[in-house]
Amino acid sequence: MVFFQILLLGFLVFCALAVSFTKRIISAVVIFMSYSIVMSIIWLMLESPDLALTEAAVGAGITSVIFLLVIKRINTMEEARSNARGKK
Amino acid sequence: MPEAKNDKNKFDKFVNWVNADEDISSREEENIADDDNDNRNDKSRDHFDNDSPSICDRLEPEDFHMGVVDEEFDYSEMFGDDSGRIDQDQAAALAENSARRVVLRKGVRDRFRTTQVFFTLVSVLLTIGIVGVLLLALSQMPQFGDPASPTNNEVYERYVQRGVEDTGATNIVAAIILDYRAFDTLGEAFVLFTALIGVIMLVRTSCGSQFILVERTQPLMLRFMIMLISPFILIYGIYILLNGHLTPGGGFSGGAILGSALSLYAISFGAQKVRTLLSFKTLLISISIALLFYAIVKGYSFVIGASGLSSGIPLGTPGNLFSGGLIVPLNISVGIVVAFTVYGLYALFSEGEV
Amino acid sequence: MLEALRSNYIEATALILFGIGLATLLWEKNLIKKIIGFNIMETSIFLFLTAKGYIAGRGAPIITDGITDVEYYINPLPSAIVLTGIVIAVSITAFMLALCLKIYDIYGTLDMDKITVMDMAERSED
Repeated sequence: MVFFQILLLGFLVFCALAVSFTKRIISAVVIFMSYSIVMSIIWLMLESPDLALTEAAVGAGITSVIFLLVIKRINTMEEARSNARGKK
Repeated sequence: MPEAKNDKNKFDKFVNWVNADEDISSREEENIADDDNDNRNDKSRDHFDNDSPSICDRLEPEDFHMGVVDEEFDYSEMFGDDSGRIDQDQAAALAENSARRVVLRKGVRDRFRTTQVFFTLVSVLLTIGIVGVLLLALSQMPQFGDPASPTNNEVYERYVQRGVEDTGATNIVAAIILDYRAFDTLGEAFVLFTALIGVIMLVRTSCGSQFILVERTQPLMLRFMIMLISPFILIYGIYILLNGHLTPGGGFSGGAILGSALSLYAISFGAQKVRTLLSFKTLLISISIALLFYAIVKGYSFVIGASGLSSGIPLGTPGNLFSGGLIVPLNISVGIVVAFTVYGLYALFSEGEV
Repeated sequence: MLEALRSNYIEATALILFGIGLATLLWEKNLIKKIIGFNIMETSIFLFLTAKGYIAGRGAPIITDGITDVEYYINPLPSAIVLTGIVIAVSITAFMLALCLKIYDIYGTLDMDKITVMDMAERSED
């Protein structure tokens, strides 16, 4: 059990480091989603089921979806502007 | 199909607006006669005044040119090949001709350099210093999982031993956040509401809110499966919400699941369908009524408790669904606030308005 | 000091995650990655608080079979505090992303270096 906990904590540190080293923003958001899910599992191992439910629904559900929506909106505006600039 | 045409219409309008040099005041109202149950006001999309189009008329990174002849800092690596090196005379000519060009001077480059070096140094020292001090403090703390540590004192014993007979709820965490310390939960529901209002104000007046992101007819398979599964997700969310005082769950988890179910439905079928059930006015009024109800109920508990009277709410037998006194209505109001806030945030970022 | 840290490995990991989140917040150029770093800092503090409430050998604080003895349940107080914190973290993240949209409107980019230079240039025009 202790070994499993140490494995999950190592995965957390690896995810947190990997967010800085990726080149694309979308992969950073996906890595952040998996960080949230593993954090939820650790809270279950620390005997707090309320926190695990809330973090699973909120961290991997709402926050990551909002990140992806904002990235897509900014990419769309960027494409429209660069097309406009290209035509000029 | 009218939905696809509508989507193409709105996005093309945005692209044309970016391309053209026309005045924003000549932007025509969008044609929304195609939509059926549309209860949106036409004027609600017209966020910009005709006199001040300055919100979307911004400087672009390519508008910056350098005005120094000799320097070793190459701005072209930051701003692309558009910004080359020019003379002082050319810089002055550029600055006169176009109101949108800004010329960088030598002082800016030096200040940016020193700012960068200073910032890197301070951030390295700050990070290492903070983590080092915290780890040093951690080595003096009691052991992990120790029953005799000072954090497990008589407060925890009182809550566990007399939690059931005081509040009637078997989930001690729910009893703490909705009965013993319910005022903190009220403050947190207010923070959610404030964040929603702030995001509404910011998104509705931004340039990017003029087109809809996810308005495309989704594949038939997705719509069919969501139509089958949505009722079960909603029932699951309501179950977790109502049983918050007996099993793990409560207002926040149940509300987040309900909000996710509404967002899922809005993704597959379009937010217009959800707007027939839940317009903007309905959403705000529901959240306000839920918060007001929570505040009134907690005010009643404060007054009764401070006067030393016994409250007239029956507690019921622990283990039943209708036990726990006022915990079930408070759970429902917190659930309403969280669910509508979550759906409102999704709709704002995906469409530009709720 | 290392011996004392070895038994508190969860809290030590939480503090290291706090440091990594702080470094991401300060060093990254992209605004979206700064917000992700801020979120990592917040969840690491929640992990620290929850680990402080755990007692070895006891179960979740849900009273079953009418046993209200303290020997069977962990400390529920840090759990209640962190529950409030998670929802506040969501609100703050949503608000920060709305501010990102406005910054993109004004500056046209989400790169912090370019925004700093543009801001300095605008200020020096006065």
